[in-house]
Amino acid sequence: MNGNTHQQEPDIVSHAVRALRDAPMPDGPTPEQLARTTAAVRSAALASPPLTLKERIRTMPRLTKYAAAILLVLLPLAVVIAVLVVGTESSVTFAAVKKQLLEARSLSFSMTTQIEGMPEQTGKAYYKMPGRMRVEMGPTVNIVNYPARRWLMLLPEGKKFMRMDISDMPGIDEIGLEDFMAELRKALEGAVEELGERQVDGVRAKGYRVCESGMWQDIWVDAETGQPLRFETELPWSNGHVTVLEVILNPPLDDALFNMTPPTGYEEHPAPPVSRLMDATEDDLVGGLRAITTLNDGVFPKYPMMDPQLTDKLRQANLPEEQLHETVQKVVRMGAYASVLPTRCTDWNYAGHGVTLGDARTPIMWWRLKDSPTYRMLYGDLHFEDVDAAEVEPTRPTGG
Amino acid sequence: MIDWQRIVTEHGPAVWQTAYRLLRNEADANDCMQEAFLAAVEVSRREPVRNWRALLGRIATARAIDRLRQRLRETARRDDPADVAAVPAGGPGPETCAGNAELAARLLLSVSQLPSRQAEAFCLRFLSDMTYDEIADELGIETNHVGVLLHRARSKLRALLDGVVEVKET
Repeated sequence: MNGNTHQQEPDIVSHAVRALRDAPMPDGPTPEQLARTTAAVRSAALASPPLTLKERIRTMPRLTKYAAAILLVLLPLAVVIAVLVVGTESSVTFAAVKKQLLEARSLSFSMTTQIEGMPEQTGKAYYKMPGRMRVEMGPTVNIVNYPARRWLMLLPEGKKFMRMDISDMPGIDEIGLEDFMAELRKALEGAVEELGERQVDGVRAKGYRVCESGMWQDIWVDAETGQPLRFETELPWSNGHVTVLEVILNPPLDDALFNMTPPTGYEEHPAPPVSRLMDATEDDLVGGLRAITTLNDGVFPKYPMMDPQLTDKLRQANLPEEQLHETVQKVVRMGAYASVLPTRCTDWNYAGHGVTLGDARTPIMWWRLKDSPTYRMLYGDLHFEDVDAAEVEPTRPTGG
Repeated sequence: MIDWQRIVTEHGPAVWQTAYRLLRNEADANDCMQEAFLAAVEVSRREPVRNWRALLGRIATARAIDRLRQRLRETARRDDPADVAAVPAGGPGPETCAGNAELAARLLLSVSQLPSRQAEAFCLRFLSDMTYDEIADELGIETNHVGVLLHRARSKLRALLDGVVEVKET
């Protein structure tokens, strides 16, 4: 086909195109804007060397890598930060909330996670400068001290604890609470739309939806005061969401909450090397999917993650300890990869539920990396194909 | 080593104009231009760039269309779709000017309602004058498929501009 000419049909479309092209166009960009762009581009180009796909995944924003283990912490906090970034139309201006954010010395909130088919989990999160975090979620209490490079996980029911060294995480030297917020804030500069008003906990509230990487986060604030009331965000790859309530900036928090010494009477349980989660790859995704599908009698489960039914099956399998450990490692690494992947994509979806392992014709999972012209398509026999994006119907709000 | 200063200097004005033509707002065009260059940095890390003009034009167009869609969603709530794409009048005669400005604004509104690929292909071809081959390269599709996208885009736009198709948020 000769692409160098096109028909100038005297129809309304051609007329409209001419009208648009003939519309006044100011001189631009200004030299200052070009200089700003050049500086930004140079800075971005120097930020890191050319990377392969796997390297890019490995070097994702440092704190999003924690998502594998503390996803349920990151997402609610991200939503909290979102409201500080977005601000409101009432009394809170961007400058004011930014100042508030940068000057915050502590933060707390409660949260609830709901995933269809799984028990609801509730938890509390606390942050205190410099770089300390405590998250009470399900059966665990997680205490992270970034300056000390230590992560302590307590299991009160069994009176056990795990100590994890996070000093070998890439970029750990640069991590602090402010970095944490700055990175999340940058990640949340997505499209914002208004959701209107509704009653939230008896208060007239205004809603905003932030959409980044196709993931939505809803923020409800007091329509009169702009104070945050409720935040909701989705969990990737599942029909689940997290609700955040009771957000408090600068609450008085006792240092004892962040004590890294295990309570008396607790027994130490060997911890996996956390750094092993940082380099999860597509191979780990495939390995984990194969493992959970095998557990599920050769049929892909509802979501690409362990659920209570699969956990029961794993227990009932009575695997030798080494094999059990290997299976758990596969599942954890699959989760590490799957949980950060959406942050790099414009579109992503899982549709494996009920597909038989070995089905080479049915796609079970696909995603499109930002600015990529193709989708990465994973089939039921766990082989990959790269498919032209024009042939795939986007499934996310900003997909395609 | 990529000479980014040269690339920004050489292609910045065209990228900015591409964005401005769709967004009709200087601040938005500035943001869109910067986003396009930053995205191009990422692309250049993955693969060698053969055609900077086409790459930057495609990214700027895609980002500008995204912003148009965002405006459409916001203004739909205010029940004032004209806000999406107000175009200043220009050209000979006040009545003709006003008519053209309105038509151009309706075109932008309609483009924002097309499927992404169709919208991108249409803008790259008819507003940025890219060839079918360039569009095909940038969108990662066969050249023949560009024609299909353009045909579908024009058909849909014609219907939207003629008022045959109800304006819906997409």
